[in-house]
Amino acid sequence: MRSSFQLLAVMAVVAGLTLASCGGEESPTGNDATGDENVATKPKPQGSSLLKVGDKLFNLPSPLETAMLIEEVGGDFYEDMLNPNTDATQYSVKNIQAMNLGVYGADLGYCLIYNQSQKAFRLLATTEKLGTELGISPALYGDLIKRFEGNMENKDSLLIFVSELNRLSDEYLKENESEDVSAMILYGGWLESLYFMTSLSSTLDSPELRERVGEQKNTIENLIGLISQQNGNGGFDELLAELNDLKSSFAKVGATYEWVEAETSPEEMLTVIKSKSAVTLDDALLKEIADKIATLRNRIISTTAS
Amino acid sequence: MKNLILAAITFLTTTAAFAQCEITADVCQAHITDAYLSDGQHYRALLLSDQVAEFNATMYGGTTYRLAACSGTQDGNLRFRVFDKERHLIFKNDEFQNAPHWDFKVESTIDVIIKAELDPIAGASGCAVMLMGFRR
Repeated sequence: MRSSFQLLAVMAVVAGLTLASCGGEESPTGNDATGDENVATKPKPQGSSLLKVGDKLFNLPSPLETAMLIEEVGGDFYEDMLNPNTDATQYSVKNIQAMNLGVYGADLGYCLIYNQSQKAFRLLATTEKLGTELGISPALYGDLIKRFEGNMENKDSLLIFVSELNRLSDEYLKENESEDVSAMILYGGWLESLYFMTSLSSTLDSPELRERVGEQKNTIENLIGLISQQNGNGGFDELLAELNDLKSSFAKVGATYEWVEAETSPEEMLTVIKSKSAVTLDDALLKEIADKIATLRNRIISTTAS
Repeated sequence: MKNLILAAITFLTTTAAFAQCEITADVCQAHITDAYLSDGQHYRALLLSDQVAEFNATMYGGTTYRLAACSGTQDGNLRFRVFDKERHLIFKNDEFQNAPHWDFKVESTIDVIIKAELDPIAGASGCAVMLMGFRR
């Protein structure tokens, strides 16, 4: 009887906290707004991937954003840059499946940007196989495939559908405590996009493309941060070592930055960021980075067993 | 008994937080309109009132980004500030009634740090969701 009462009391307290979290009027201790406060570092409650209070969040560029840049600078469509392995069932290890889902997702975006909608549709079917293997709801894909089929000639709509699928998949994985899978998908997508850029850079003399490769100097820090958060059991030690090796190459990229006051237009709800930055990397460094990227990427797409 | 209580707390808190994040994500997604493509990522953190979520991002030159930041079921519950890596303040939404979304036109690639915290009116804790879209 006493035990039951204690349990009920605990549940009542939790319910109260839950209601408070849904918009209660409790008056908290406020922070100042100077921007000098530290990120919260209270201990994490155990047992939930969600309750990572104060953890940093890391952004990686969308593969679609990179594919758009490649098209803008005049890069042609090269089918042989895509993952040649069209049988996704050969990927049987979870992390490899997740990385390849990211690779196929980047391939899909690249095809869409170049109006290769039939190829994109086939890739969508491949991503569905891998995604459902990884626990992403088949309903997400079922809905998208229907919308995709009805808009095969409408590139803008297809891009919206795919970017939305990516976001919903990411949300679904995080809701289901699969943030490690989410991180590996993002890694695969980033790597494939960078593979496209570095491969094209060898034949296409584009300062914009070269610059974007160099700008990954900063992005790789975010990627390492993202994966490190998922490395509690050391499962990503080898991958992190490889990424740190890649980071050592990116460290040689020259970079300058100059702060310029931003301009905000409240009417447009827009801020123009006017700070100036530049990166420089010579041909030798570009090749060094391209070679490392190709090695990492080719290992992912050719690893079909544990 | 202790384990049972701990399990009950963990289960109930997690379930409630998951549910709240899902609703918040739906509210937030409405701000990433069809003019923008989602970056494909879903950023979230469960915050207490004295805590700040830090979000590291690179914004590329020539792109306009839309950042949406939400907590709870209505707009205006989350305050966010955008800094460059040298901690120069670029923008803060509390000057604009905690605007739930804002656009950033980027002339030259920049690394930014976005700090988000609950507005005191939003309560003592909540699920903070941030979404990012882009257009070129």
